Amino acid sequence: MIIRLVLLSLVVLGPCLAGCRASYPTSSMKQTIARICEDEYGVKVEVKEVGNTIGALIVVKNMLLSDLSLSDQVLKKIEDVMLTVSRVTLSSEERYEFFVIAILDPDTGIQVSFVRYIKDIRRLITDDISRNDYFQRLLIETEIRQPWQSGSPPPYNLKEYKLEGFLARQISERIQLQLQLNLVSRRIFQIEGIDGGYYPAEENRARFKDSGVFRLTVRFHPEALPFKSVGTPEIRKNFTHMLRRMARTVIKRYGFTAFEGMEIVDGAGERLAYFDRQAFNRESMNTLMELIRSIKKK
Amino acid sequence: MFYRRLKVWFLNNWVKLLIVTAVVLLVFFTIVGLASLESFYLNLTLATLPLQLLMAALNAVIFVYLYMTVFRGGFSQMKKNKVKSSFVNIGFSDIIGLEQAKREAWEVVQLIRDRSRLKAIGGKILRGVLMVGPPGCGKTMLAKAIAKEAKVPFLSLAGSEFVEVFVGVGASRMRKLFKQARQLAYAEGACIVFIDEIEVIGRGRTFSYMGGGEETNSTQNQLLVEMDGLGSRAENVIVMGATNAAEGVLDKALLRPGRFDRKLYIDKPNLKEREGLYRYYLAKVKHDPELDIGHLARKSVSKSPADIENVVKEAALVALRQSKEQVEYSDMSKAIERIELGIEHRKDMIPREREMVAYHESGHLVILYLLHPTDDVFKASIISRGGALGVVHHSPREETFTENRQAMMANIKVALAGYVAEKIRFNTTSTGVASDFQNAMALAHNMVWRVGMGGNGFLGDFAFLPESQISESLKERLNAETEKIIKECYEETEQVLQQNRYIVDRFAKELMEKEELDYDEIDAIFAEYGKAHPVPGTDKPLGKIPAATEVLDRHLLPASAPNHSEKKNNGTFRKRQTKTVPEIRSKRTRPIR
Repeated sequence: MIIRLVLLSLVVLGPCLAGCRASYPTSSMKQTIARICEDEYGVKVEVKEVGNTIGALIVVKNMLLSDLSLSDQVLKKIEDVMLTVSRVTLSSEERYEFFVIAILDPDTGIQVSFVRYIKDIRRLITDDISRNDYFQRLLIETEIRQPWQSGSPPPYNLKEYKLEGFLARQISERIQLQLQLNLVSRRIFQIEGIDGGYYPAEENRARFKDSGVFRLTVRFHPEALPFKSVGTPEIRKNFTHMLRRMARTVIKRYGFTAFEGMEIVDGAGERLAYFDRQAFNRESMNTLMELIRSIKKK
Repeated sequence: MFYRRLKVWFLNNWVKLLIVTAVVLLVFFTIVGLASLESFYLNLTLATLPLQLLMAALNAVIFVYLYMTVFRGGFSQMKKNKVKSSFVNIGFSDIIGLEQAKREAWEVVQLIRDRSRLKAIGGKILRGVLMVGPPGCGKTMLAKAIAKEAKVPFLSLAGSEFVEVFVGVGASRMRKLFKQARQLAYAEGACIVFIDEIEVIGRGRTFSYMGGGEETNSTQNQLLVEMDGLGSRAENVIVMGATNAAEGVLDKALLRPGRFDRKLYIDKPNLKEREGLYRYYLAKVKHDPELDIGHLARKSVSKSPADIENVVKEAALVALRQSKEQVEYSDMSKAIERIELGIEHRKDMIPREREMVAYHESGHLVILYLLHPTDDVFKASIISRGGALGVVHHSPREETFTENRQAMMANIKVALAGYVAEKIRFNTTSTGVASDFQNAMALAHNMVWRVGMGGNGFLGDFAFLPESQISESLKERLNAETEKIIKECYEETEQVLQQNRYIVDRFAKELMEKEELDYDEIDAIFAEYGKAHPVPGTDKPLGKIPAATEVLDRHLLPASAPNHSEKKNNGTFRKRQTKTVPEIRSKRTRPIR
């Protein structure tokens, strides 16, 4: 009986002897990422950290193909570095919230950055989110920098990301993606683009309460009719609610609660709609199809 | 010897050893593998480890179950039957009585202990020891004592464990048993295999003319071969069997020299042994120090040690129910009655029926007291017990091993006495005499047909012969003789009861008032009429149950002793074979309407 208990304990607790401390201490994380990328993948990276964001810069010539897509070689390097950074950040003490993989072409000065929320990786590995959702949560930013021919590249200009700003960008990206698929609403309202932003309470103390506010800026075509004269009030209401619901979906997935509401403004800053917290979270039966039906009725 | 033990242990446990080694290696390499993982993946793996272990355990259980049932013997697998001699807590000193059997058993132990010397001389250790005796007399206990004293491994199982639904399982288990025994004998020098209730597999084999036979035949054949067959080996495996059945029941091949060549007869305890048993079991309960052990021993003729233990346990329960702090004689008495006669359950009888029962039992009582040469009446009761409306409890004063003609005739008279008493008093009888008649008929029939006690000179056991070989005229004459014996007994019973009618009336009256009378009360009533059994050497009636020596002296009293005229004892005391006297009960039932 005793032997059986000892064996059982060994089987259950033995693997715990392998240790549960973080594999990569935060103090040497930059060096670790650079070393692994070079040793295991043969990729030289410059690693930088700002606040809760860690970034790796890869300098690659001829980054873009003739059709302006990224080459396979570049994609492979991005994948390798992303994997390395994921490994290291997950197996370290939790300090960073975001990591950025930036690719810079010295000849053209084009810099493409991939921003990832680290917790999304953990959620993907534990099957908490689908792969599709995971891909949609990736933020891609492009920047044009000064090209250089020789010598050291200019310093890596990494900025710190905050979750609210990340969410705001994500909201705008997803809405733009949806609107690209929905020609009807885009054509009716003549929308060129949507920008997302988060304004902390300090900046809007007079207008809002203590928490910040998400703001969607809808850029209309210069020759488009004023928003208030497009369609019927019902159509305009359905449109804004559609934007609200899309934003709500994103925010709900992250469980973000530090906001007062959402404001939709046009390019001139005129408010088109405002939803306080309660109205923002309200379940609504209105869908995109109902919006289209209401337009057709008109 | 150590090497042998190690070898046998390894042969029996190599599978377990292999599994343990595999598990240890697995755990080691798991630790090494996990240590090489990064902490996030390590934590992930550890988090899912319990669920994975659970799934693995479930798979293992299913696999092991299939393996054990299909590959490791399945139905022919036996439960663990090895008993370590150091765990046995019964030695020869714990067995009370059985002196002769213990002497024989000690010889067996000595042979086992001195097996190396015996082998040097060229002798062979005995193969089998058969213990025969009634149930509850200490056969299993003796086997345990032998195991403890011999200090060798002891495999114990019952004969019924070899019987299964599927054919061949018994023989398979027998093979496995002896294989295990041989291994243990190889490791330890000798091994004892004890098969309880061996008659289950050891009874005479049946051979059908069609070539088949009972399934137990194959099991027994395997046992015979294992004990002394062609392939029997040098390991010292001693088989001990215990059985209640007579030797004639067991197969002759089993009893021949070379197999069960040593037989120990375990008999029921005699008076002294019963006293020792009562002392032993009473020592385990709080009891009255004044308790007359001798009296109890006399009252317990033909009881086995298990019966005596049961009596003491029951007495403790009786004392507990009455909130007593110790067991007293009255509790012991009640316990004996409860066990032998059954639990009381009073019935609402009409006065006439009750009177009839009282007279019926009085008839039995008076005849038993006055005419029976060997039995004493301990209790008369008209309280219903079991299926009987009344009972007269009697038992021999001392165990006798045979019955003479006088005793058998007395038994018939006692059986008929109930009928006669009813007839004398009420001039009618009831259906309650049915079992008494059965008893009387059976006794008379045996006297004439089996043991040649009929007066017509026919000698022999005619019941043994097939009916077709006895002529009708012979049957008629034998039956007539049976009838004659019954009539003779009836007439004598009627005469005695008529002569002692006042005593019968008195007892009936007492029974109707008190419902039960015990020995002292019965004796006192007989003494009032000058009919009590005398104290040996005096003409004073006995006022209490005599001690054993007094009773034995009574048997030796000459016929001319006062108040001894009804006794037809010739005064000699012979050692006889055991034969129990059936109890007389009135199986009175309500008449069929």
